[in-house]
Amino acid sequence: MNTNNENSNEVRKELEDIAPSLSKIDRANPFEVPDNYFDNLPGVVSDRINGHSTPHSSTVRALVIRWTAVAASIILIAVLTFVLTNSPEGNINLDLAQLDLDEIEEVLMDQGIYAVEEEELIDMLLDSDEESFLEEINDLDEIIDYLIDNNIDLTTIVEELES
Amino acid sequence: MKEDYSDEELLKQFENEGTRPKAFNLLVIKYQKRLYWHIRKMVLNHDDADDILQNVWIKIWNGLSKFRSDAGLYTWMYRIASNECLTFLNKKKKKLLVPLADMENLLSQSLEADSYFSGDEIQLKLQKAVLSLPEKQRIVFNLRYYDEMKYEEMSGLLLTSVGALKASYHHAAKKIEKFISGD
Repeated sequence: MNTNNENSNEVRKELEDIAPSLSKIDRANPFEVPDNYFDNLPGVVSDRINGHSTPHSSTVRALVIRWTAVAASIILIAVLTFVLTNSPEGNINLDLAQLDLDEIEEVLMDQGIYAVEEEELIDMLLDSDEESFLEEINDLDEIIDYLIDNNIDLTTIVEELES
Repeated sequence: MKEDYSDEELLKQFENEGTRPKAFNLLVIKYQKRLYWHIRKMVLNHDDADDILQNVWIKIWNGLSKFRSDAGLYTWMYRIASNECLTFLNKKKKKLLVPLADMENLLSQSLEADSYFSGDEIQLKLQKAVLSLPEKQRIVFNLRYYDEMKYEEMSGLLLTSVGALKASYHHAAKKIEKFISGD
C-alpha cells in the first residue's frame, strides 16, 4: 500500500471517529471550472504580465501615485492636526521631510491599494524615513472622497498618534 | 517539453532574463490548480477565485526575484494566496457594510447562484456548514478533508503546531457534523 493510500485511510478513519455523519458524505469536489480554464490560465496570466512587464506598469504606477498622494495628504493632515492641537513645541518623533513616497507606494501595492486602513496609514507614517511629499497634497474634495470611500476615520489616526 | 521541473530548477531559470517568461509559465502550470482550489474553497465563487488567482500570479511575478528559499516556494505562494483571499473577503464585508455573521449568508447565496457549483443538496449544506467556521478553521478543514494533507505538512504551511491543527480540525468536523445532522 502506498503512502497516499495510507494517509487517505488515516484521514477517513479519523473522520469516522469524530463525525460519523460527515464521513458518509461523498468527498467529491462539488466545484467546477469553465471548460479549458486551466489550459487557458497560463496564457491569461502571461498576457497580464506582459502588460505589467516591469513590476509596476505605468498605468498601475499612475494609479498608485494618485492614491498615494491622497493617502499622504491624509497622513499630513493627521500630523498637522496632532502638532497644532497637542504639541506646542512640535516636538514629535517624526520628520515630515523624511517620508519615503516609494515605500508608502510599495506598502499600498502589497496591501491592496483600495484597502488602506487607519492602522496602515499610521504604520506608514511612523515607518517612513526619506523624501518630503509636501507637494503631493491634492485638493480637499479628493481627500474627503477618499475618506468616505474607504471608511477612514481621521480621529482614529490622530488618537493613535497621541497614544 | 519537460513539465516536471523542480522548484529549484524553475527558480534558477527565472533568475535568467532570457528564460524568465518560460520558467514562470511552467510555474503557473505546475501550481495553478493547487492555488486555485485553495482560493476557490475560501471564496466559493469561480469568478472571484479567478480574479484573485490572477492577482496572486501577478504578485508572485513581482516578488519572485526577491524570494528566498528559507521557506518553501509553495508555502510562500500559498501565503500570498491566503492573504489575497482574506483581503478580498474583508473588502467585500466593508463594501457591502455587512456584519461578519451575514457574510456567510451572502457567500452562501452566491454559491447557490454559481453555475460552476454542481453539488447536490447535501453538498450545498456541507458548504454552508464549512462557511460557518472561522476562516482559519475553514482553511484547516479544507486542507485535511479535501486535500488529505498531513498535519506535519500543514504545520509548515500555516506555521501552527500539529497539536493545535488537530484540535482545530476536530472542532471544525464536530461543528459541521452538528450542522448537517441535527441543526
